[in-house]
Amino acid sequence: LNKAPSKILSIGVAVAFATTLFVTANARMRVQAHPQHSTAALPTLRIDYWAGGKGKLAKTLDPALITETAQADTVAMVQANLVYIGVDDKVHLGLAQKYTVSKDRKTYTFFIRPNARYSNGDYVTAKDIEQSIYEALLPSTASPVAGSYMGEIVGATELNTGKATSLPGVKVLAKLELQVRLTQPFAYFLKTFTYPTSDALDQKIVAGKTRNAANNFLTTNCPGNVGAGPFKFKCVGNDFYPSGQTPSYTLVPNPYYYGKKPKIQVVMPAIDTRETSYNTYLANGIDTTVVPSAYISKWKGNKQFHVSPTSVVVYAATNQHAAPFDNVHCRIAVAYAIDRNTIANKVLHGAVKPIYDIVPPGFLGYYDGKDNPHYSVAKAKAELAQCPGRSTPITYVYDTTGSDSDNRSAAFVQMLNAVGFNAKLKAITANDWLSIVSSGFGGMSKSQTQIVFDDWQQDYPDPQDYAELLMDCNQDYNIGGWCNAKYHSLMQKADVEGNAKKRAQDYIQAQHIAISEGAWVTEYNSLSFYLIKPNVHGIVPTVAYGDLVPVNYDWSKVTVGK
Amino acid sequence: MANLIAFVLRRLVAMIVVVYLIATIVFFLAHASPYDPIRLNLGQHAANKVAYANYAHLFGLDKPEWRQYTDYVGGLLHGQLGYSEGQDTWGQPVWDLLKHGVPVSLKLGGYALILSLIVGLPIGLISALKQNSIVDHGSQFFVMVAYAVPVFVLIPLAQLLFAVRLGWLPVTGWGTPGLEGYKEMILPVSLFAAGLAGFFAKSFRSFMLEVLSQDYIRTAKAKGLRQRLVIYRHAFRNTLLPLASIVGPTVAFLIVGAFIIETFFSIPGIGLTTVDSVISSDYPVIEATTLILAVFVVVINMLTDIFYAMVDPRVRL
Repeated sequence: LNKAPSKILSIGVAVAFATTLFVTANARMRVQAHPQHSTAALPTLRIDYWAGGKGKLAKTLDPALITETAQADTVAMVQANLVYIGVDDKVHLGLAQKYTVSKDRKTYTFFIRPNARYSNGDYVTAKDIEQSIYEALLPSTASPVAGSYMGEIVGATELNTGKATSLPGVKVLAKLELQVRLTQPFAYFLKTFTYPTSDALDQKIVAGKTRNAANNFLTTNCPGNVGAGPFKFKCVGNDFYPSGQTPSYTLVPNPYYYGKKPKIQVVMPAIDTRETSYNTYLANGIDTTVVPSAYISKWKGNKQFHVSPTSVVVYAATNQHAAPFDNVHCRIAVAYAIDRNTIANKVLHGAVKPIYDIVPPGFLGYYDGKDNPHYSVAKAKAELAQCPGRSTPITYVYDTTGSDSDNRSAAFVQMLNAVGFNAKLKAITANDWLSIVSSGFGGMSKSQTQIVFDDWQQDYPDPQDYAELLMDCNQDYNIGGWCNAKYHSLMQKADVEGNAKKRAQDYIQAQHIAISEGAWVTEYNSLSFYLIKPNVHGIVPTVAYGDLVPVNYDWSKVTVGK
Repeated sequence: MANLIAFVLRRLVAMIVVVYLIATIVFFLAHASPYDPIRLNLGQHAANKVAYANYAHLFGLDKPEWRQYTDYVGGLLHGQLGYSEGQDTWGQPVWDLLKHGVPVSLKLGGYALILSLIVGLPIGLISALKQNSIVDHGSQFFVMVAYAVPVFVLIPLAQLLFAVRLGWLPVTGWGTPGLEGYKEMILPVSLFAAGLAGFFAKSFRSFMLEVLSQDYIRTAKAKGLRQRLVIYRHAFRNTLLPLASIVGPTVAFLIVGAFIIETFFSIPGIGLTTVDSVISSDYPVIEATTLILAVFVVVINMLTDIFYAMVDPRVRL
């Protein structure tokens, strides 16, 4: 390159480089020039459903694929089901104006409201719901939960496992009449049926579209989310929010909603961390936030501060197939060794409540567990004396998610050592922890884990979701592998027991068997702590939902003042 | 000009080979991870064997690894990057994640780079010219603070001061239209630029001191040339080469280097997506972001080489 062209080339390449940088850097600016939605018409509630989600919104909005609370609660604002769980954790009528149950309690007939319409004005039909349930169960949809939540329906398991191509248990009787037949008179069926997997989807919109997780139509296509719930998404073309902006959902009232229509719009920004959400609340960027545990004491007594019980139970699972916890005395020694009050009130600063049973407070079958092991050093030592593998070194494994989990686990191990165990602590990542607790029946043996922290939150508000799924023989979620014939028969009986009182007694009796054998070492039930701005009225924390929702799940009562 | 075209073509051919090799290496490295993306995604529901098997089949993870590799390379040749297997983005097209995120990261990084050069170079220059003076020591102190204090320490402090206490700026957010959008940019761009500015100031001071001690500078001064001409015509121009050698790679890594900033300020760039993809064994996103970074590095290196040739006649393309 000689000197003269070099100068021209220098200038040219420099300009090209700078232009490339600026053009790419400013590309979003031009995209943002798309028309923005007017938000002036309705008061706006800015809620933090998506706080702590690493800046991401839902990985799925398809009711068939939902497994997490924030997804479920967001979808519940847009989609609707025949029945739903109220904030009282009981089943309420949704799209169904009534339902009947046959004498043998195996056939349910739902009558759909004539005024039930989707947000595009289409009427909800029984055919829509039949098809929605069918597609949720198809193996090609690969729903992680449909087989579990609708497996009681005749033919559902066969369809879900690819052994059949039809679903004989769901039948359209008339345009607004749907019949669902069960293999047995499962007492908890209606509760599992409230799960989004059976939400009504407008078949005129979703027919032929991708329902599985790969490039899911509803997750990637905002206008496709045509639901019969109280809200609809405000879309920007096919997107949920303008490209280049912080992700957020904006929901506006569904003009065709069958119930009282909301008088607000809701904005749900994706906020990376809970701490950032809290700071954003303090700076008036959002109207609600979860309170990080470090700030709970600061807010107690303030009008903005709200506490709620949750359905989260925390326990220690022991490996029943390896020393020392293959022996009942060794397991019970652990149950006596743990001072739950100290963990709840001192270690975790009152953010949790000790429990002594399996199902959480407020559930059918919950009881105080007075007959189950409580903290007693003397009894723990006595049981440990009868434990053949008492000198076996044991490792308590937990997933480290912050100082609370570290402190709680350290206290747990100290308490074990205080009664004579030779215990140590092993902190692992959430990924490693998941590989232990999601490895199926007796999965702890595969990883040679002796005792591990575990927790569970309701899928539906029924003791079966806890007592049977987590502790009964051969259940996928029974990671310790404990199996007891009497317990199993009680679970089978409770499944189909129509009398609620008798059913509760079955669960109480079963829980006592499991806990008194040390199969499940109870710890505590978590609480939720929220801040709500004083100008926001009508939303409450509940057990039923993991987020703040309207009183009586009536969004028309939620107001946002100035 | 013919030399330039031949040079660019050679680099483009090399880029294809480099990209293919990187794609292959990253594919097998990612798949060597002990973590199971299905288990991570399904959480405790992974215990459901039917659900697990359905998911594995849907994403082709039940196929032998060599088959997954040929599918992946075949997809690349057809311009398909596949679907995310990350915990928070499972099933979303990788291209969708990147096409929204890359421009955002470029914008954040581009503004931060420009700001850091605007601030860092004059500080470095003044420090060099006033070597060992109070101005030099003072500016070096602030440069070290900006460079050494981790950004994750500065961010919460800045958010608490400017957003929570003073209420001047929003805590988080990005891309809101109008004035609010500019306000949203101030903290993340400034904090991202702070470290870079410190780095550039410190480096530029060294480069300038090196050049100022050269014989040709002394000769220029001896000829009676004015100080300004000595600095700008002789010294500054000769610092451009070493400066380009540090700015080039910095530009290449700006695209994924802002993940902490993006995390704290809820900025929808790909820095955070990249880090998340590694944590959650999101093979397709790991592979795609690595490829983008590789292409970016190759292109920036090519531009840097061209720039070298422009400013230094001794360099031949």
